[in-house]
Parts: sequence; C-alpha cells; structure tokens
Amino acid sequence: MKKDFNILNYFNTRALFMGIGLSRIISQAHEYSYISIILGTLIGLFLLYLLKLEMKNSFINILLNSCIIIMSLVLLINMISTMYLTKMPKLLIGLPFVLLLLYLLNKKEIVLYRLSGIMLFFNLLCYLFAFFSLSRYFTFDNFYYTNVSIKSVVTCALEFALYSITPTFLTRNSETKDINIYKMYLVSCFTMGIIFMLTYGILGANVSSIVRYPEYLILKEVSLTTAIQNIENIVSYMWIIDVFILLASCGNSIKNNVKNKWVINIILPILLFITTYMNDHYEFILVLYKFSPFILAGVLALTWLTNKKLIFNR
Amino acid sequence: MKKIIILILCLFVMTGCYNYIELDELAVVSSIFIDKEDDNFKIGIEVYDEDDKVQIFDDAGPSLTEAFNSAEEKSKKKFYFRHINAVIITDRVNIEDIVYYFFRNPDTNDNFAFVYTNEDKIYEDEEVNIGELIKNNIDDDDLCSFFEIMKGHINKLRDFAVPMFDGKKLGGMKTYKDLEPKEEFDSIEEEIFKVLKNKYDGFLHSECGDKDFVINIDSIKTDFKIDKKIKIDIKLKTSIQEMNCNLDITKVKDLNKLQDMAEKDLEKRMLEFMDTLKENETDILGINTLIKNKYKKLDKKFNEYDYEANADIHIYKKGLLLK
Repeated sequence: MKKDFNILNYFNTRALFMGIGLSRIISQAHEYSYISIILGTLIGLFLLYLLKLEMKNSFINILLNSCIIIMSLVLLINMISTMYLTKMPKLLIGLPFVLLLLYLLNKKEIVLYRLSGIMLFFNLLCYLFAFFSLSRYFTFDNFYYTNVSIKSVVTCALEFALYSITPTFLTRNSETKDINIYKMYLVSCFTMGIIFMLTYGILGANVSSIVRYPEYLILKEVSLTTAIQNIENIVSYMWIIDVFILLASCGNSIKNNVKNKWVINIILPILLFITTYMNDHYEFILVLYKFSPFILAGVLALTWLTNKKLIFNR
Repeated sequence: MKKIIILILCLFVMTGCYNYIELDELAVVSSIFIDKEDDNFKIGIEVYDEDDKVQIFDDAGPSLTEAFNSAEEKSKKKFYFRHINAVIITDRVNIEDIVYYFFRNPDTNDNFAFVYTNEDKIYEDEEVNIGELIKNNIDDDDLCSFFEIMKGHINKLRDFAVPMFDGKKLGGMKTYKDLEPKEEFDSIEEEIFKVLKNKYDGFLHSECGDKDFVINIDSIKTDFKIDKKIKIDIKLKTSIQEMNCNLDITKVKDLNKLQDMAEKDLEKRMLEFMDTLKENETDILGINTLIKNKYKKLDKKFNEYDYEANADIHIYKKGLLLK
C-alpha cells in the first residue's frame, strides 16, 4: 500500500505545475528558476518532515479536496479546450473525465493504486521520449542575464514547494509516512526540474513569459526524424495523466471523508458544473493564475490546522 | 447496472467531437504569402492538390482573420495549418502582427520557415510547390524557424534576420530592428552570419588571388570574448569541395598556404560584416545579450565596441582527388 501511495504521489507532486506552476515560476525566476526549484524541493522536503498529519474525517477536508479538484479541473479543461478541442463545449470536455473518475472511485481503493502503477509506465515513456527529442534544442544561450531579484527567486521557491506538496498533504493518510515518500518526492521534483530547464533552455525568458502553456509549446518540437512530427498531442498526455491521477486522489480522499461512499457520485458532478461555470468566464482563470499560490497556502494551512499531530512527536 | 448506465452516458458524450472534419474537406496549406496594401492584408495561400500540384487562393481583408476567411470561402474547404512549410512576408507588413497571429493559433506547427520577399507576387506556377521548395532549401532551419524569429522579436536586446526569397530561390537575408526592415545581405554575407551564429554546416567561399575555392564546413565552434574589444574566435574543421587555385595541395606547404588564405579571407569578411551591423545598429548576433551577461548592465552597446577576428581553419579532407 505504501509503495502504491508513493507512485500516486509521483503524479500528485507534478500535477499542479501544468498550465500554472511552471509558467508562473519561469516567468518570475527566469534564468534562476533552477535555484528556485532546488530551494523549493528542500522546503518541500522540510515541510513533509515537519508537518505531521493525522487525517481526520471532517467537512473541511472535503472542502479542501474539492478546492484542489476545481483548480485542477479548470486547468485541465482549459488546456484541452485551448490545445486540442477548440470548439467543444467545456462541459462536454469535463464530462468523460468525471464519468471515468466516478467509475474509478466506485471501485475499491486498490484499483486507483493499480491504475497509477500502469500510468507511471506510460508517463515515463512519454517523458523519456520528450526528453530525448527535445534535448537537442536546449541551449545555454537562453539563460541570459535578466535582472531577477533575490526576492523573486525565493518567492518562486516557496511557490514550487506549495505546488508540489499541497496535493501530497491532502491525499496522504496516517498509514503512509515512510521514508519512500521523501524519495518519491525527490524523484518527482527532479523530473519536474528537468522539464523546467528544458522549457527555459528552449524558449528563453521572454517567450516563456508570454505564452500560456510553455511546457506544451516545447512539445511541438518533438519529432522522430522527419517522418513522425506533430505528435505533441500524444506526448502531452503525460500532463493529462498527472492531473487525472490528482483528481482521482482527491476524489478518493473525499470518499474516505464521508460516511456514505455514494455521496461522491453527487459531489463530483457538482464540482464539474462549478468548474464549467468558472471556465466559461476567463476572469476566473486569470484570478486562479494570479492567486493560486495563496489558495494553495490557504489549503495547506487549513489541512495542517484541522489534521495536525503534535510537531516532533515521532 | 452501473456499467450499463456509464456506457449509455458515454454513448452520448464520447461519440465524436465538435472539431471533427472529414479529410477531404481539409485544404492542407503548404505556404502563405502576406503583403499589405492600403491597410488591407493581401494574402496568397498555397494548398496541396492532387498529383503534386498546388492550388492558390488569393484574397484581401482589413485583418488577417478576414483575409483568411474570405480565401477559405473561395477554396470551399477548411484551411489546415499544421503542415505549413513557410510564411512569406514583404516589408509592408508589420512582422509583429504576423508573429502573434500564428503564435496565438494552436492549430499551426511552429517550425515553419519565416521568409522575406521583395516580390509582389510569388505564386505563378501551379506545378511548383513554393512551400516545399523553401523548406527543402533551408540548410539550418533553426535560424529562420518561427520559434527563432519569435525569440528574436520578443527579446528587446536582440534583433533578427529573415532569409530572402525572390520567387524562384532562396538567397541572402533581411535584417529587422525594432520591427523595422533594415539592411539586406547577399548569400555570401549570409554564410558569414551563419558562421558567426555557430550554426553552419554548409559551404564557405574563399578567394585565392583572382581565383576562388570552396570548402565544406564539417564542424564549427564560434566564441565571442568580451573585453575592451570583442574578440571573435572561430575554429573550423573543413574539407575541400571545389578547388580552382593555382596551388599544389599535395604539398604540405601549399596546403598550409591555402588554410592561411581561407583564414585571412574569413577574418576580413567577418570584420566587414560586423562593420555593416554596427553601422545599422542591428544586433542580429545577440552580442548585447552577451555584454549584459558579463557586466549585468548595458552601458556600452555592441556597436560601440571594436572587433578583432581570429579564424582557425583546419582542412582535414580533400575528397577522392589527391590534388
């Protein structure tokens, strides 16, 4: 179970960087993004070690998980609507995801862990393929000096820590606190760090600051000789899998927080409708983009306050 | 029962998508020509047709979207931009409008060539696919790919250069500074630009008295050292492609002489090229960025520096001929 949770955590750590975390950090920390990532990983590890939680069944936990589900669904649906299905109504884009989630959540918890194990293989395949295709476009010329302040680098480090650990805290339970959680967190941050560096090394400071999905944009360069091109949509499934697993993890946490497990079948469609409403008003997406670190900080603080175990009580 | 309900729901929501379009209703675009006249965008769209031929759709409109829509109506098909090979522009269009238009659109590939032309009309023969012709004749599409132009345009410290197309063939390049078209360079000067950009694996022409010879670059390493002067160090590993000089290159002495001549010629041409860039204040090599990287400020721009060039050309192959 612990091992399975750690695989799940690999996805959860990365999921919130898609469409929001990565572009925010790169556009602020510029050529020093790598320092922010290293600092952020250390802060994340420290918080993982420091904040001991004993997850209790509470209404606040359901709200906090719902908040992360809304955030991830908004990002996912908006990305799909911008990149793949430009004419499809956003409700219809979200519906298959929610149906699949419901199917998954109505099964036993082990199904979620098995699914994450299978998806890990596919995800790593996409990741390695993208990495080897893109590394030739990487150039250090893009790491030019851009007057970034130390404050921005430190802020981005904190943001990195928030984006990576908040889902972990929300979805973990008291059974899962072995050393492997730190190891998997490090692996996850390392793979994210490589994506950050590839994005910055290919696009540079200026381009990556003005585009909505820099991590998707670099995938447009992925090709296998001249015969196989335009495969960015397939390779970008790795992002979709990350977010889907996070959605499933949060859904699972909600399920564990309610007495009647069937309630999840009502909560998820409601969340989908809220998401659709938010997605139809671009102001919400802009607000989400601007205030996401504060939202995540709030979620993390509330998670800790409502589920805290005495600090240093090991 | 639950599975059946989910399957029925899936039947309603997963049977297709709104973006669905039949393949024969798509017009696959090979290249686009964009010009401007009296505040109207004039566009020409080259679309793949049967038997390796192309179809051309011309139209105009106050915005790019309207011009594309009118041309699309004429074609009676939906334009598909994912296989686009080249976008050809004139100096009458604002390059920023074009760059942002294609960058915003997720339905384009971003590695097409961005090319400049002086011609008013380039699509004259339906047998010739101009898009393919441009794409196949670009040695190193990194330098003029849409991505590279975009980076050059957005980076305010740097200017950019676009390859030129005369309607028949590619040759030379047009420089842009602050969105304004500037100096034009010929093919020989374009060679120097590519050498200085450290991204060239083509031919280099050199003179030996009144005759000339051509060497093929196999590996290149260009380095800019910024101090009181800017020193450009270039190391080339080359092979002889064409030899018209009166030298016997079976002799070590003559081979060294040939290398020296090539080095001196390259150094001279590099300095001439830098003088032209300084005169026009167009930093297409990104030297201002290097200066800022070193001093963390830009008190003195690239055109206020003196330059020194040092070429080290090593000929290591002569082909099958001994002489």
